[in-house]
Amino acid sequence: MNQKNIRNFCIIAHIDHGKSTLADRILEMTGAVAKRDMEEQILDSMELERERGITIKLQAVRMLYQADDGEEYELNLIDTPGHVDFNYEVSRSLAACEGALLVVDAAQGIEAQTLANTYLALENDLELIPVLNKIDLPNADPDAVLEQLEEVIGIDADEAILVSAKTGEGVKDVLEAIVERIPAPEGDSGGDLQALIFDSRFDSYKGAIPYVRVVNGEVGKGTRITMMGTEKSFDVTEVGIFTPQPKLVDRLSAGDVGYIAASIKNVKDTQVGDTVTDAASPAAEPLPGYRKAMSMVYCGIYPIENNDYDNLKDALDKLALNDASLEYEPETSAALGFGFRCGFLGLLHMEIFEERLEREYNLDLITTAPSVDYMVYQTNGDIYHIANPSDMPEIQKIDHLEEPFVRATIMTPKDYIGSIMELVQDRRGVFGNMEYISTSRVMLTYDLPLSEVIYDFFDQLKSRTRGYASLDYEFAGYRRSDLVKLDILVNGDLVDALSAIVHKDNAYRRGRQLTEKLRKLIPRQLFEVSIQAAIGNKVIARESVKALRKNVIEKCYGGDISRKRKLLEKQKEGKKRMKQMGNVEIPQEAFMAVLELEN
Amino acid sequence: MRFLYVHIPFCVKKCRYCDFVSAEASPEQREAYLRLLKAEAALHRGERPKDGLLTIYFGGGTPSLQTPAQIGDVLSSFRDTFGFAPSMEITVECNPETVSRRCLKQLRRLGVNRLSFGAQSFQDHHLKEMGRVHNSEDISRAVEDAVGAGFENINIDLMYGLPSQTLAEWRESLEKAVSLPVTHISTYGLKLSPLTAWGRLAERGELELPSDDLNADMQLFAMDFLDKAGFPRYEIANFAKIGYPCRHNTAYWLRKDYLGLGLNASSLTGGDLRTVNESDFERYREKVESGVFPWASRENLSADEIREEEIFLPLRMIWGLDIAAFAKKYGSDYFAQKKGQMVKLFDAGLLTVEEGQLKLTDKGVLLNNEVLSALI
Repeated sequence: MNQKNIRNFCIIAHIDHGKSTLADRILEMTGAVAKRDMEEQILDSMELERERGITIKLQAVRMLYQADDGEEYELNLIDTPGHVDFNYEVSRSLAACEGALLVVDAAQGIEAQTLANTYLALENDLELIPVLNKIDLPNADPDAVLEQLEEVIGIDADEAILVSAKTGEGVKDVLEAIVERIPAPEGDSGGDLQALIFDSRFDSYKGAIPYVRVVNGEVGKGTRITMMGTEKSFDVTEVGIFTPQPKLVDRLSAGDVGYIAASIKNVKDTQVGDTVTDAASPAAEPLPGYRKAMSMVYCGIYPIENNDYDNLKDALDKLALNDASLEYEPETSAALGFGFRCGFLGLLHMEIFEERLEREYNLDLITTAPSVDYMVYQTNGDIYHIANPSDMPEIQKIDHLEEPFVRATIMTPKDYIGSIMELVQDRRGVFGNMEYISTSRVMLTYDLPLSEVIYDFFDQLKSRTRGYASLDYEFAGYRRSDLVKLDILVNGDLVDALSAIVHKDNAYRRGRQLTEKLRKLIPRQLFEVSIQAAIGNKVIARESVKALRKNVIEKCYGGDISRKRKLLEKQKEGKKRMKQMGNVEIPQEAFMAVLELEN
Repeated sequence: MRFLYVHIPFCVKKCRYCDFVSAEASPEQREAYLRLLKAEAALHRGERPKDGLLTIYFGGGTPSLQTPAQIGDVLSSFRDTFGFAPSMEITVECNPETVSRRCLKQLRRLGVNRLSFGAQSFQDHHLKEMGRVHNSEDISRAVEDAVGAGFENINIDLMYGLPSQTLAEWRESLEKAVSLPVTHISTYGLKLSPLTAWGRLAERGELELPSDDLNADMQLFAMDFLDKAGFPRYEIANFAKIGYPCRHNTAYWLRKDYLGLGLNASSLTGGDLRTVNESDFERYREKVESGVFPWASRENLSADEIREEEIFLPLRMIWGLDIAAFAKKYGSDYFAQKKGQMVKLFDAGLLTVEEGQLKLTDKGVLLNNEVLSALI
């Protein structure tokens, strides 16, 4: 295809604004996917993604479109993940495009993610095509939303296209706008190879396969390539495009979007954001913007049955093949035995990962409450990171601690400002800015400790605003905080997996809440169980679970015997699912208790 | 097979805590049911024991609603089908209000030699709330009449853990029970199925039930009180004067084969086949009339399941489990493997060993699910 007839674009939208439905309609209309073959929302192919209605791993697809000007165009749609955890991936997808469809729900208007994604798109010099979706809804208010677009983002309302992705109305106009307004890619096919990796997959036959946008030069079978970030080299075995099924082609040239197979064993060698170049004549510079994926949230993952450790390790190895952003390393807990400390891009990434482990690998797991990565400054000058609260040194050795902060953008109807401010202050938020984006909607900016955001912040925000507020955040660096390690002792024994790092001002409240919660979660046992919360040697809260006195089936005659036997077997199985701490049996829910504390 | 259970699923009215298969019925329905019982027994004629039946137990429902003539009729049919051993225990469960002195005399004459009264409580307000038809005077009268009719082996059932029941009331019920000429007492804590009237109330939080601790106190009190009154405990829920444990129920705990006739009755055959009859009358009737066993389910017990039962059933009884005999059958390392758990149970005072028998202590009786699930 002639380079001037290529259009590379992506779709950016707040969650639920109809990105996937619009993508489906576009695929259908260009004939890339016949309607009858279409699985609803084809780009979200992972089962979990479809269940949760969000895109986690992005995809790309090439379509051919016969435009009204009589020419045929190659349209490359690069899908972007729809969640704040994957912001870096989004930014790399955007960097692979020249234009973006900015989809806004005509009923809901601009949300936090709309804005964040728009800024990202503008940073990458993308041509924005505003698309007002869901105009078929009875409560759609296109005029008000257009006004917001003009005021907040500075987009000319006349440029917006009104669409109902559901009925297909206006989708043809979108395709024409893509051809007319988005510039053709500029690169030089004769230049040195520079291809941007925006995603990767692992294929058990072909190895790790980077998905790339070729910016300059060409790549084909036989090219020896070098990854400029990791400095590893490989021989290309095939290149291809997505239709959306992978299809072999001879070469990928400047402007093309496709995949490169080069017998790459490890997905870590195909880092998103890295630049692929030709080993024989390498480009002088990598493409800008590469950084290594950064874990924001950590948790311990342990098998309930100790002999499942190897199965867990296998499962982690396999899942990591497809997830370059996953970090994990073995760790040991006195309470939980052998397991792994795993690092994730965010809480959603973590939850999805845990669910996949349990669902796809059929593992029974205990996960500890999530933690962030703290910086410890010791009195002797040592400085290091800890991602597991139980790694914290004794109080006497600590000079001070730093914790990661994020800059959070919250968009909300103005009626909820008070309620949100209360929430954010409660979470140690530092006010940044407040801006009216329309007469009724406000944008609040706060700096918040990440540790406060990863608990139930988003749920709280949603419940306090009846679902109307939206949230986006980005990493804003480390800051010094007055933090302490809160320990939990059960019958006098420290349960390391329950330790948490909390702000000093919240320690007493947390300690009380946690002991109370544990009292409810730990079943009555043959003897009284004491539960204490402590900072260092100082006990700050205590509760006790009274001894169990009666658990008996009295009637056991002919017809009752099998039922009684099954009940005893069930009770025996139930015990297996608990962790033995000394003499005390602790159910797995207890290890997540800290997550469910109410503020 | 020398132990026969006969289920009579009819009651005057349903009690508010009852989840047994029972219903109100017309005299014609009862007559029809007895015909089916005889027909079902005939299906088992091949299992006739060489030396005859040792026990027959009429349970319910309210078996005493049947006329003595009807009971005599089925008994003679069972005698024809299975034969009777020279010394038998034949029990009929009775509700105190359903038996007259005359009818008790007739039952005794038919060979019935043990009665089990569903007394439940000696406080009239509890009896009324439970939906029982009788009052506390009916109990005393029925027991006296039974003795007058020639019965010397009499059980009464008592319940504790009733809504708003106090320990003092429970004590009073136990005192009244032992003051009567009875030989056997069974005590049951109230357990509510959600399918019962009380169960539904409890789920909605509208029933004031005693706490777990009070329930534990009541059970412990009963064990202590009855022992001192000359009714030592011989099974989790059963107390008897020396020489008067129920032979029929003991057969269950010793894992003897038994045959159950009637709706929802269960049987154990050959030590490893447990069957349960249909609980729906029409389905039961169809199967019996077409000459097939009226089973709703059958369970072939595995070797592991049989071993589990051979652990928890003997431990329910005061004599406990014969460690040497068990080790001979299942290997001496079975309990060795559970050493850690057993030490914990010994330390907690729930389990003990006396003269080679593994036994539950009184405290262990209250926590027997904890102990037994650790041992199986």
